Amino acid sequence: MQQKEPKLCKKCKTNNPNIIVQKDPVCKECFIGYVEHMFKMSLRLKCNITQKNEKLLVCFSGGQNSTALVKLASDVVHSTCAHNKSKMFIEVHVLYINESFIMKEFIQEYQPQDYTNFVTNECKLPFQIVDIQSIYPDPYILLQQLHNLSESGSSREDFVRLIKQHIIYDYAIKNGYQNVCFGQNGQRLAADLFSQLSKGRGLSLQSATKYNFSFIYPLNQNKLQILHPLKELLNKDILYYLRLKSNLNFPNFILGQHLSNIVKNKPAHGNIDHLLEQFIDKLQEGFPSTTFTVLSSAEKVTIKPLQQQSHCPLCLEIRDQVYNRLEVETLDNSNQQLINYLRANTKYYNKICFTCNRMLQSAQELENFYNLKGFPPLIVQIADTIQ
Amino acid sequence: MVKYCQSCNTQKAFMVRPKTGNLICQNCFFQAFEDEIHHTIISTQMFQPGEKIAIGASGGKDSTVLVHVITLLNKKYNYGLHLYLLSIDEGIKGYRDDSLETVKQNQITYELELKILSYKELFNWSMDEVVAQIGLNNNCTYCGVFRRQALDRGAIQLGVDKIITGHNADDMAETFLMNLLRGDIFRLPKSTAIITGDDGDNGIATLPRCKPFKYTYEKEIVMYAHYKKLIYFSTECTYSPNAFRGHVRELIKNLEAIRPSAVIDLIHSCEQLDAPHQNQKLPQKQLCQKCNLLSSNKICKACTLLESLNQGRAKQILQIQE
Repeated sequence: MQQKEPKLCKKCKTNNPNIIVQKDPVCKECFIGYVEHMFKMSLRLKCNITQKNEKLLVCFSGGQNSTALVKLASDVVHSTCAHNKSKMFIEVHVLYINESFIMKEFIQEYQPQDYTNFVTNECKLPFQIVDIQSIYPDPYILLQQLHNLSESGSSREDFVRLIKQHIIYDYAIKNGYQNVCFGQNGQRLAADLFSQLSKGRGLSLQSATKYNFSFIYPLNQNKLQILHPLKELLNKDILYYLRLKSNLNFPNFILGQHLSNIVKNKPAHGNIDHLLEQFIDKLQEGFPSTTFTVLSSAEKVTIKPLQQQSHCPLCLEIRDQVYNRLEVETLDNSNQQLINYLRANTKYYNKICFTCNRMLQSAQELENFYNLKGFPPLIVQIADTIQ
Repeated sequence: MVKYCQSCNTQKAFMVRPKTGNLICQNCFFQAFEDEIHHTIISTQMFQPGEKIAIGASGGKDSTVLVHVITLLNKKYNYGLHLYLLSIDEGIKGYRDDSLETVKQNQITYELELKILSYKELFNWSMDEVVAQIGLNNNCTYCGVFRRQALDRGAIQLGVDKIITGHNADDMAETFLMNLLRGDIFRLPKSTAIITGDDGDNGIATLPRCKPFKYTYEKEIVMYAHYKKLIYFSTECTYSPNAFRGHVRELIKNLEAIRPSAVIDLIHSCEQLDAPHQNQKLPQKQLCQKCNLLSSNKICKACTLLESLNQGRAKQILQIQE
């Protein structure tokens, strides 16, 4: 009986394979080469980073995806890739938003991490740290706002996300960065898309998963390019890449420990983002084409033309249209009075988009939110500028 | 401590409303439930006075509540509609044969004309026979395609203007996510359309299908049926456990548990989508060369599936003879 020949790496046909990449078994070395090559091609062809000395602002959170992004950006800039040493003549700066101020408030065992050694010494990239509370005139207002928001439904996480977004875009524009790079891989983008859809952000279908999306900053009409160069990769690709290239530990703070029992007992500790991550991850295991089917569908979808294109001052997204009253209210008289009151008595109710309204529902001191009381001056300025 | 209804602030609360998470009394719940369906019908100009409407009735909770509410609203607000019951017998023993008894009961209760069509008489195949042939993979595809055509045929025989079905908000949200997961971008914008089939391309008349329960939660339909003491048949289809929709259904339930408005939020997201661009190749609507019903190909999906089934049966007969 003929013995089956042991399978070899599909690319080099020499080494034993270690991982499956898009149905092909590849060895460690070829895998790293694939990731580096894919990253360069993404930047050049999909993200249109072609000009010499083009400035790229890489957003780093300390998580696995952004760590991989910083490592790859560093290799490409310093020509330290394992394969193909061709250099990209771009300027990469790394921006990290330090959330210790709010994390310490909600997670008792939280330990702040110092990434200076990794970014500055190991990756040799300029590193800027901005404290999340620095955007607020009174930082304790931020904590108060988070406490006022609902524990459930990712309201607090969404609020933090939009504050960070304001900081990133403002920093990018003030420092002349036209390109802002995020580290989400394809699987995370698909999960994020589903999460946004579940919160009512249908318009995100046209932008949230693109390699390269143009964003007009409403304050001064400056154009920013939002980039996702790791879109081609899956979770397992990132994990394996980091295992081979990095010695960093990724502390796993126990999420949900600080929540009330009612919320803790909900699916995914009441966190919509985590629920959708789990959903996509589970489907991806059973149906390997899930991620790329979702991303490909999102690319082809078209959005209904809007009567007017104006932005929400909180999330900076374009305000979507409500096609039926029942999307926003019920006819049981339980929320109509409140909606009418807020509409008549607050300054910015009509400027807040559908999804941000959902984020604010069940919040305490709603009037303060809709009057942007205590909010960063930047956000108030944007709200006053928007029609 | 007594908890009061958050709508009227007068009566004692008797339940938490699934759509809002607010406390509500029985009267306010029934009122809101019916008012919201009435608003859905009026705001979308779903019906015209004098129209003949076939209600897709399976005997399940959705169609039973649909029959009850439409009959009630038709009288209360003078829609001027002529209502008929249309039932499809897929031929699933222990499931459909039992639920049809419920439909017959509804016929008597609401004094409506009832038409029952079966897969066996239309296609010469019952679902039990289909599953025996193809197994438990893709059987929902066969059933869905056949049911669509069966409803059309039944509606033509009744001479109605529109069909209404009990598809609720949860169903629509599930369909939206499923179409996104399967990459079906042509169906994506129509996933939550309240009236489908009324576009009449190429001069080919199609029977519009309407979904008055578009903004109605499945849980609320169950509660309405329960507290109104409506009789319905509640068992899952024998062949559905392996359906892909089960994954999405579980997701929707979990989302609802976290944030009650998530189902409506998904519908709102889908409403932002437009039909595919004109430069994207769209299937052209035409009439099937075999059965003369609406199709996007020369031979419609139902006839294609039937052919594959009949070929399988022909192969079996030949094998037995050998």
